[in-house]
Formats: sequence, C-alpha cells, structure tokens
Amino acid sequence: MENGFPIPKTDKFPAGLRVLVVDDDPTWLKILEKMLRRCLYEVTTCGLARDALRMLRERKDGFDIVISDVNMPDMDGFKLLERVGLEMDLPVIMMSVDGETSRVMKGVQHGACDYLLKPIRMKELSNIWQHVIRKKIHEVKDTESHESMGNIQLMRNESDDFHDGLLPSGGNLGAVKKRKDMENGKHDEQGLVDPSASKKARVVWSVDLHQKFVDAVNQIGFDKVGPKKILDLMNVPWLTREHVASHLQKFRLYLSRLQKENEQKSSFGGLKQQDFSSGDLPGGFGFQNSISMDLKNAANRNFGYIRNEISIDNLEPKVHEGDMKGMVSFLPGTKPTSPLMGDFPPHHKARMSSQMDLTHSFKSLDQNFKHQPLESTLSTQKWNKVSMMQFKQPPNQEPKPYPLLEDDHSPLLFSGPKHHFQVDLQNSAPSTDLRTSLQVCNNSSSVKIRPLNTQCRSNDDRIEFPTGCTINSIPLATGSHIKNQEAFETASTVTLGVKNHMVAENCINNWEPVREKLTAGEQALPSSLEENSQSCLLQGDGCTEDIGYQNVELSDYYNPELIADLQAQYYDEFEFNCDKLFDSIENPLVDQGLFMAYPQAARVNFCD
Amino acid sequence: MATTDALNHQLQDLIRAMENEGLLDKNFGIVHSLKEANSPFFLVELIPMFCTDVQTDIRKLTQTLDQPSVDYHDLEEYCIKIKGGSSCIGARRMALACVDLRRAIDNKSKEGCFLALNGIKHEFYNLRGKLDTILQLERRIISHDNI
Repeated sequence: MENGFPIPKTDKFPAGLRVLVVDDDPTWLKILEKMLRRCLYEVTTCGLARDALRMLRERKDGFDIVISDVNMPDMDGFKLLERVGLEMDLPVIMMSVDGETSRVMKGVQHGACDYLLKPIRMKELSNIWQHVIRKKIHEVKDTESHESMGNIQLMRNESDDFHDGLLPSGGNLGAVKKRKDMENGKHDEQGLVDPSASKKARVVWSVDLHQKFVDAVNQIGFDKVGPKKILDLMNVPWLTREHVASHLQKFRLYLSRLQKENEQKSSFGGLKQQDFSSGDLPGGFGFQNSISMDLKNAANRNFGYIRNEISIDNLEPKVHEGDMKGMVSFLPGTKPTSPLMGDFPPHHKARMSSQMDLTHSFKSLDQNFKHQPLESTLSTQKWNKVSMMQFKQPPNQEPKPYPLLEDDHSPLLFSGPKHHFQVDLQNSAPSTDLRTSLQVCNNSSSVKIRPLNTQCRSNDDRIEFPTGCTINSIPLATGSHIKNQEAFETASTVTLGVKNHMVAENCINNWEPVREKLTAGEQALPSSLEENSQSCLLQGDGCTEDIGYQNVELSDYYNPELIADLQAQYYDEFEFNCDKLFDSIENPLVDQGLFMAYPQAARVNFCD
Repeated sequence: MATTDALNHQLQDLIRAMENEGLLDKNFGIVHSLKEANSPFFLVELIPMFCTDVQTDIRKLTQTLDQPSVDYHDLEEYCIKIKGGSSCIGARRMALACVDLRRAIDNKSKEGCFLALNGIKHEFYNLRGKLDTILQLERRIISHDNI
C-alpha cells in the first residue's frame, strides 16, 4: 500500500488502499465492504463512530481514508469528520441518503473531501483514492511553501489568475488551480517529485513535544513564526519542518476554536453560538471580553480536537502583551465586499457565507473595548480556519437579515446594518498585511481587516474589506476585534491572518488545501450544489490565513498596494450582501485552524 | 430437478418483474452481482438483515408516533434510516414511501406521518413477501452450485 507517497509508486495502487467504513446500518456496511473489496481496497468496517475513532487512534497510521455515514446514533457524522480531520488528518468522505444541499454544504464545510449519496455506485468508490493522493500532495506543498515569502507573491499572482479564471465560471477553478499547482510546483517541485521527501511520517505530538513547539512559537513571536524557526528552536532531531508546519496549522485551528469557545462563553448580544454552525464568532465584543483570552484557559481546556492535549499556556503571556489586538471594526455602511477568500473562486457561483456572527458582533461594535491580544489572535485563528468558509455570493447588495445557516443551524441573523470590519493594515509589508483576511461580512458589511504586522499601524492604512463570506469560523475579525472604526483609531487589528509574515505563509499554506478543497468540492458536489452557489471549502488546516487575502475589498482608503493584493475584484459580485452568510456552517475546524494570532503577529493596532 | 440455470432464470425473471412493478430498482441487481464465488451467501444474508432492520425501525417509528408529543427529530432519524436501508437494497417503492413520510415530518403533520407510515408498512410487507421468494430461490441456487 502506498502510504505517504503522493505519487503512487507501483502499479498496484490504488489497490490496497486502507479504508475505514463507518455506518450504523449493517446492511450498508456489508454492501460497502463488498464493493470496496471489489476495488481491491483493504476494508475495515465499523458500526459506531466511537469505535471508529478508537480504531483510528489505536492505529495512527493504519488507514488512508475514512468513509462515514452522516446519520449515526452515537455521534453526528460531521463531528466524527471533524475529529478525524483534526486528530488524524485523514481524508474523510461522507455519505448519506439525504442529498439536500444544506447537508452537503455542511459536509463540505466540515472538511469532507467528498459527499456521496446513497445508494452508492461502484465507480464512486473506485475513485476515492484520489482524495488520498490529493491530500498528500497538498500537505507537502503546504509545508514546502510555508516559509517562503515568495509564495506570497505566488499567491498574489495566482490570485490574479484566479480572479480571471474564477469570475467567468466555476469551471475554471480546476484550471486555475492547476495553474497554481503548477506554479507552486515550481517551488515545491522537490516535494512532489521525490517520494521520500514528500513522505510524511505521522508524528505523534505528545504533550512535551507540543510544549516545546509552543515555547518555540512564543519565543519567536507569532508574527515571525515559521516552521523552520520553530523547528530550529525546538531542537528535536527527528522532527522535520513538514511536521512542524502541519502541526502549526492545526494549532492555529485549535486556537481559533478555543477562541470560539471562549466567545461562546461571553455573552454577545444576540449572538448565537453554535458549534460553529452559526458562525460562532462572537460579535467582536464578545470576543474581546471573552476571549480575552483566555487562551490560557482555553489551552488548558481539554479539547477533543487537539490531538494530544496541548497546552497553550505559553501563548498567553505573549498574547497579552497587548500588541495584538485584532480589531475588527465594523462600520456600518454597506459595502459590498467580496469574500475574503481571495483565492477562492469568487465567481458568481461561489457562495459566500458571511459569518453571521460578525453581525452580531457588530451590534456591539460601537463599544470600545480593549482587546486582549489574545483575542485577536484567536479571532484570527478562527479565521484562518476558514475551512469552513463558505462563500456565497450575495445576490444583491441590499443588506438584509438572513439566516446564516440553513436548516438546522441557527442562523446568525444579520441585521441590516452593514458592518465594516476594519482591519488596519500594518504598515509593514502591506502586501502581507493583506493577508489578514478577515472576512466576515454579513450582508453588506465590510470588514476591515488590519493585518497585524507587528508594528503599530497607522490609521491610514485601513483597508476595508468587505467581508463577503466568512465561514463560520471566521472568527476572524469577528469577535474580538470588532471595533467601531470611528471609535477607535488604533483599533487592534484583527490578527486575522494578517500577520504579514505569518500570514503570508499561512495563506499560502492554507491556500493549497483550500484550493484543493475547492476543487474537490467542486468535483465532489456538482450535483448537490446549487447552480449558483459553490461553496468554497477551506479545509481547516489549510485555510487559515489565506482567508484573509481573499475577500478583501479594498476600500477607498488604504494602501493601493494592498488593494491590489487583495483580490478584491473577485468579489465584486459577492458583495457583502451575502444572503446567507453561512449555510449551516459549522466550523469546528475553523477554530482550530486559526491560530490566533501569534501574539506578536497580532499586533493589533490599538487605538491609542 | 431444476437445474441451476433454470433456477437462475427464474430468479432473474422474478427480479425483472419486480423491477417492472417498481418494487425494485437497478440497485438490487448491483447488490446481487456482488455475490461472489467465495461468498455465495451474500444476498442470502443481506436480505434478512435488511428486513430485520427495517422492521425494527418501523416499530420504533410507530412507537414514536404514538407518543402524546411527537418527537419529529426522532421520526426523521428513523425515516432516514429506513430510506437508507431501502436504497441500499434497491427497494424503490419503499424509498418513495419514505419521501412521503419525510414530507409529513417536515410539515409536522401527525396525520400525514401516520398515513405515510402506513404506506411504508404496506410497501414493506409487500416487498418482504417477494424478497422471501428471492431468498428461497437463491438458497436453492447456492445449494445446487455446491453440489
């Protein structure tokens, strides 16, 4: 079984692919087992999600892909999906007899590689190996591009390409992606071509190891953190940069989730927090208060997602340094904003879902709040997670309240006012600043995201990003950093991915998976998606910072360069009025992804 | 003594007739084809499994509906389960009946749910009889093959 190689080495592939099938219906289990065996896969079946998780944990490297039913008695299929993605980072395919768009969307948002409708045909099963390969390729790419600033350029360029490619039609996504892949390939050629280089052994991140990781991160500073630096500091001989890179991504996701949970604790006016589905981002305010993070607390919490209990303690102190403040100021005012996800094919087909949460937070926007650096970090974190970002093109620009989530998600209702997320761009490296993606826009709100670059920012550098859609997780901006633009001059900037350096890296890293997902999503759900909506899935791990880039619609004032960077254009169509900020967004992953702000990274501009 | 071929023929005819009636769809054929030389009892085991599961789900559905305050969420879960099972074996009419039930659940109409549930029961009993015949034929074929 070719495991770990992005490119199959033998003719036998995909034979021997190790599949874990989880379904509470024994009849289906039997049939699937038969079918998969026919495809020459190695099949293990499981009737309960609990057992499946246990099996996966016991044999960390024992499976290549998981296929799970959505409706299961002991655990929601989406939760399982989340867990598997976080802990084991395996591709997960969802299946259900229910093919409603909202369900499929949910699956996509949670990071499913594919969503199959029952009854399942053999040919669908025989192709599942592509998800395994794709994931591996992207993992490699991500880690390779982690530290390269050049990637940022690449992304930018690609964004342009994307822009062109995306707008016309969703179909181009694949093409654009390929372009990107190819371009990236130039950088990451080695990783792709050389199987040994690309092979990533799965590392078990023990508490100690993670502690070292966290220490290293703190030492370096969020704004400067990169896998290589962390690796050097950690001084663990057998650890590779790839390990660190992917762990970093996950860590970010985790932090964002923590943040979300914190936010949940705080009371936000009208914010409904649901497990991500409703865009948990607390309206900026909540964020600030709650998040204040208690990164420490969060860290100490036992999150199921965290592979190994990670203590984030170290982060906290740094975070609180006060430098970071993710501030998202929401300015009322309608501004159609394009989804932040720049790289996402914002074409009209995309569906941006803005984070409803933001809306909520907006309410409280007007209040001044001090953000804890952590908060911003968290929000950024969340944001990064964009895995669940959903972009939905807002049909029109009228702001109107709309439930963010479809069906069972509690929608974040955005009330009419448009909010602006103000993200102050840090002076430094504007281009990178852009990366702070923040998007979240509830209908017609623009999010200004301020890239956190370590320095203080100047007010002039505000970039307004219309937040087209943020995926639930876009905690980004939300939550913590909502700040009334008027009120604050130096609002803390949302660290969302802004962190130049990090952001860039993150973006790039994240981009890949996101892209991947997009493509995958596109392929996977052609029928389920509505004609005019295409959800861009950002895989949790991947999409962190990238999100920032996208969607930013540069507003009038700010660095033109930034604007250029932001593929704001993409989102013309998407205006902020995303009607549905999220469709049932549940972004558990998002939480995790967004590593909040690297404390320094989130140098939020504080309003002095 | 009927030969294996004759039995197979009979079975195919029966399946085709059921397909024409709309009782079964192509999926049944696919599932049937999954039977292999090394696991001849595949279908023979599958059908009873299906029937037992569906029966349990129907019973639970009935119980839930009988409650003074109906939990529609539970109803939906069972409905999905039955639909899943039906789709897996290709029980087309049953799956359609489930769609009706789903609609009634969405409308939160207890009456509608009762009616739909009865429809499901009806389809199920009808199907089960035919499936039993298939089962018998299948068993005979296997035993013939083994001779």
